[in-house]
Amino acid sequence: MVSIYKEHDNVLLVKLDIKEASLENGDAFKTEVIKLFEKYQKSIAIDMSAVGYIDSSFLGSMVSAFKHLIALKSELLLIGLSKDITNLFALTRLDKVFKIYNTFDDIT
Amino acid sequence: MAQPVSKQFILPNTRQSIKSSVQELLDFVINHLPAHIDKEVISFKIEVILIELLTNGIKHAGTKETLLDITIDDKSINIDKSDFGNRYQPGNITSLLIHDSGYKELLTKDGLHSMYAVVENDTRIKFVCEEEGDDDTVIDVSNLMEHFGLLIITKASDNFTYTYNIELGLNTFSVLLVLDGSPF
Repeated sequence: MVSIYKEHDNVLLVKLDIKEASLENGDAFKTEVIKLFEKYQKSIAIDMSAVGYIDSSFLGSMVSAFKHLIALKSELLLIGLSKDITNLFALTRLDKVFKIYNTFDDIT
Repeated sequence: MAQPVSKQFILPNTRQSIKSSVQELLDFVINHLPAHIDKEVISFKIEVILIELLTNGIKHAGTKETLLDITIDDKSINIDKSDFGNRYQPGNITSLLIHDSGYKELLTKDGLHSMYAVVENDTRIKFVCEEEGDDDTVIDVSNLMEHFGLLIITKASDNFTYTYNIELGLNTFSVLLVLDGSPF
């Protein structure tokens, strides 16, 4: 579900390879992100350009993973959100806590 | 004024069917919207509301099917999602129905939102969301809530209620969207 795309000095770029981010895969997503962090000990930037929609369950898993990384002085960054997902982050005001970028180059 | 359009859908209550059910319902709504409505804005709201209503049913109802009634007229869209399954219990919501109308109880609170349940009568509760802080407020991330279903429906709609009919054992979540063309 989550594959490494590029490793930078202090951030790991990963791709989220699912179209529907939902109740079905939220727990697995959180587990994979935390495992990656434990292995690489870096902030993680997630390219979400392949994701068509996110439901509340997956959103909860994203927030849970985010809180885990923040507690360990790292971050979960988001890249390439579709218009609907951008709207969902605005609706839930999570755009005030997640750092959201258009491209990986904007981070590095 | 055009006549209201109504349709009842009987949908499977499974994770695998959510996407196709949402698309069927969304197509129905879009095809019956008044001409003056911005379809892009309303599509986003309707889609997230439908996804969360159906997901909520899968999580809590414990039934094989769920009923969804949609009514569209010139000024509003009403969506009623009903099932004869388990009472909706998160936050002991149904226990609030013993209180007088107007009673308001905090369900969840973090640095971004407070969610309340407000008793409307002896069978119905209205969900209300209030935003916390402003653009300069530092958010305590460790305190962020991780459950967004009720919040999304409440914020995407103009009115969101839960009714429990104790005689029938019927749960009904009702959503109203006012068609005034305003963004969220």
